[in-house]
Amino acid sequence: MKNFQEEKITPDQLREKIKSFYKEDEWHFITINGTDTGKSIEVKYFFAKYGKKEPVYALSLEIDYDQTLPSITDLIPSAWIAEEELYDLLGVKVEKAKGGIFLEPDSPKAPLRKSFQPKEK
Amino acid sequence: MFFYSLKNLFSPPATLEKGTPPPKNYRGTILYFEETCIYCKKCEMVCPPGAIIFTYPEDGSKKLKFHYNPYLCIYCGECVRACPKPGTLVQAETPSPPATADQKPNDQWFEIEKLAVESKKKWQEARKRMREQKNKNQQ
Amino acid sequence: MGKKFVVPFGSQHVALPEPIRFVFTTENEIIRNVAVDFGYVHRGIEKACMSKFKYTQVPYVVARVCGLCSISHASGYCLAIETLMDIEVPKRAVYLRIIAHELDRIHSHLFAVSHLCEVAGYENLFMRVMRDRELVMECLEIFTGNRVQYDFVTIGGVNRDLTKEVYEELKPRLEELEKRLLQLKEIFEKDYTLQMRWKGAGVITKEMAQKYNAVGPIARASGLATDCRVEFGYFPYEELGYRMVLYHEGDIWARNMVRVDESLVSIEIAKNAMDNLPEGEINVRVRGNPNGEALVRWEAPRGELLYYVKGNGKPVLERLRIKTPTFSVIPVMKELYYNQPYALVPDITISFDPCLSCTAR
Repeated sequence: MKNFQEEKITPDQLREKIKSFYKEDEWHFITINGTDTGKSIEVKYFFAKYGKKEPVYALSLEIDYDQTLPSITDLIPSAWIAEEELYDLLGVKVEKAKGGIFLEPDSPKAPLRKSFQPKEK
Repeated sequence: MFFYSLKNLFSPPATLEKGTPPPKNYRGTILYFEETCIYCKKCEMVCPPGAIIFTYPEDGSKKLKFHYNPYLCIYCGECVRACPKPGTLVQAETPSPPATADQKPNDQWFEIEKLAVESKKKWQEARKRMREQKNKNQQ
Repeated sequence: MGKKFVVPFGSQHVALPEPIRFVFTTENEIIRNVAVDFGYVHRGIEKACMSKFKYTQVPYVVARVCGLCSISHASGYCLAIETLMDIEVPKRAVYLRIIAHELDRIHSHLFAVSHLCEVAGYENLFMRVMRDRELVMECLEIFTGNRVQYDFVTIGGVNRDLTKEVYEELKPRLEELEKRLLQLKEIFEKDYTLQMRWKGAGVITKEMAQKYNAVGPIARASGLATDCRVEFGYFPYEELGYRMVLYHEGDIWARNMVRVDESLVSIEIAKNAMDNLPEGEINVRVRGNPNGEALVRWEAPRGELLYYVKGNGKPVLERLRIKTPTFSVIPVMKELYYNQPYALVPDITISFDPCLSCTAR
């Protein structure tokens, strides 16, 4: 059973959408989650309201493997860490993300993708 | 605070002495009693680290052999709860004996893991032969 | 204008329990620029849960994400799976989970408090807090059968029951702990050295906490009222005597006091839950495979923990996402260092109670 509200958008609408409702003193930005569905990567942005028993609000969008995701760091300053994680662990090209924080330069690339095969011993 | 610290200088240590027995309800080693086992392999399937492995006999009989690795076990007790025959697997309240170098616990266990895969193939072939034999006899 | 120096802090440092690396550019000992790097201990737990383990085995795997808050991870995951599969947990199991979770919170908070004392140079108080923490460790050992990795929560309930004997062992220990904690609180409120060191240092204002989405005790020390125990509303915390601890100073001292006060509240909740334990089953059988998605916000000792679970009707999950509390406070931590003296860095870092193995997973 799904226990959160979800709204589907396209990558181009993302920044406009967040600008339209996000207020620092009302909304708590939780994190960004990426899922490899096998054909594309599904990215979800989770928000919750402070002090209210309401379901979590999620913005959901799908991007291709080589598409670039717009950055929201200037709208929500704490989002950089989640964007770096997307870049490192799922190989999503995010604007401004440098990589190399969650994984080291010599470690395997994008381990959370479905096509990733761990090295045999 | 000062008097508390001064008092501490003359009081016994707060930590437990070496060799204190584990408390009651301690999660200890897993004991296996073969007499009541029905070889359903539920314990092998639920074990999170894979510390229980059954190996198959080559003659195709149903009497499997139980292997348990106390150094891989996390003592969660999931196997005991999954067991349909109460009393076959029991969690004792004493810890497992420590591993020593001459036991080679890792190497032994890797061999058992390999053996489990190989013996299953042989066992399945033996079962197939037995079934064919049975069909022939019936005809 | 002084000359600029680059001073690294970490990845190995005496104040740090786990590896994190900051590179500070300082000017006359005042920090002007910060670069942060973590993830030295990435273990691939999410990948393992999505490829190797069945969903019934995952509670024991995610409990190994963190040593101090293992029960929060296991119950967060179990709650997510139960929401996803519409499993109703018996009320007795819910209460037992609350008791274990609150005892775990006390021991995690006391660890943070003692560590902060050690970094401030007050070794004697550090030893004293650690000694008092031993009481709650004993409680957990009697209650769950283990000292650190409890493996207490499972999908559909809990593994062990609270018998009368255990109850009688726990009760006096918790009362003794409460007495000792009140003494400790007095020391923290009145001690001259600690006041000098901690008051007014490393201040996070409420606006800053909101801007960088701080969570847990850090947010509550800055006057930002956020607690997933109330906001998620799955467990009956309010009827067990929960009250929110709020401080408005936002400095190191306030963060420490939030932890001490929350431990006292946790003792009260645990005692109430033990006294009003309902009768009944402690777990239900689970059948079938998860299909769909669910999300759980869960209040771990360090703050908000997020579990996102997506299943596709197979025994192995399609996606498991763990967002740990320290993951959320690193942005505000990085921002806080600007224009602080370098000498305060260990105290500020430890006042966040960082858990980097959780963050890197």
